[in-house]
Amino acid sequence: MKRKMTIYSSLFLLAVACVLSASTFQEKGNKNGKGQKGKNDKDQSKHGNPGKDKAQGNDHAAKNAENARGKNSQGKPDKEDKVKMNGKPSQEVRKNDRRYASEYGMLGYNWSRENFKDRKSFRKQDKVTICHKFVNGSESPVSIRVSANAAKAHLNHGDVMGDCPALNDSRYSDRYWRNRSDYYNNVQYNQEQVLYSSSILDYALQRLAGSRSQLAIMQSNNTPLADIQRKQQVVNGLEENVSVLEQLIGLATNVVVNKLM
Amino acid sequence: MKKNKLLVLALAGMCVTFSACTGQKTNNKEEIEIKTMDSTSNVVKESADKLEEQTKKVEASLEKLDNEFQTP
Repeated sequence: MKRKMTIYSSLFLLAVACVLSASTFQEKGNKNGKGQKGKNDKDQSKHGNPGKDKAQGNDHAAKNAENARGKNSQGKPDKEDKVKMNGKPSQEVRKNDRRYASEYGMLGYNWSRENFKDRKSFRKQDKVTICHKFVNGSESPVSIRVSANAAKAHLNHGDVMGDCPALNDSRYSDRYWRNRSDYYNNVQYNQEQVLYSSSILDYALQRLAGSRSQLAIMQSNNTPLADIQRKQQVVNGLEENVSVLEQLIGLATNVVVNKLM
Repeated sequence: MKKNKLLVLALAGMCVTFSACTGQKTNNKEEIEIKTMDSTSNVVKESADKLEEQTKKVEASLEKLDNEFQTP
């Protein structure tokens, strides 16, 4: 009888020990994350679960959101992004970019010769923290840093100032939440850069057209050849830079399109 | 008696395996998600940095243009 009791109690203890070891294993993962805390720690511990983005009606948006949450098991941007990254901005991409921009009211740059000189003062780069809510509400909000220019548009969209409220979700480690926040901060930074660069691109194209017309007039007015050549060189330089910028805008837009929607 | 003992042992073994596997699965899933996020995040950051750099070049070219073409 005594022997029987001993066997059963040992088995029970063994089972308890195994359950405990399994939970410790999980906890270890969380602690690993804590060891790498950075300046954004405050943000990361405050988010909920990664959500159910597949509920989105828009397939592309769902795909991007999946990417944002790390659903691409190959650890790389998805295939579609890669394909688009190699090409010029497609019409649809530019349209999406504009749609995003108008949703967030960030197309505030309208350059002229006068205000272009003071562009640094127009582009407020001071950052504020907001709690960004996703349009369909199926993904947990995320605390991100946005420029003062973009903040108002975000607030109009339902986001709130300050960090997101704390959520107790032990399914993911601190490291996961920290990386998620970093990820969305980079998306926001990219988006703001795309919008600013697009406005510069539009202005540059406008200026190029004007300069070409002026050059044509100068040629017919017998302006000295050296002057014309010098001006032509400046126009060519701008043309080259504009062409590269256009491609980079397409690339950057494709990488982030719809990710904050 | 011996049968019961074997049954209990088998059950305990199953419990151990199940617990260990569940824990590991959760952890691996998170690791994959983190790696994917980091990788995409780097691509996003790099493209934004390149864009910023190129925008500065265009701005510089526009300033040169302003100097060459004084009248609008």
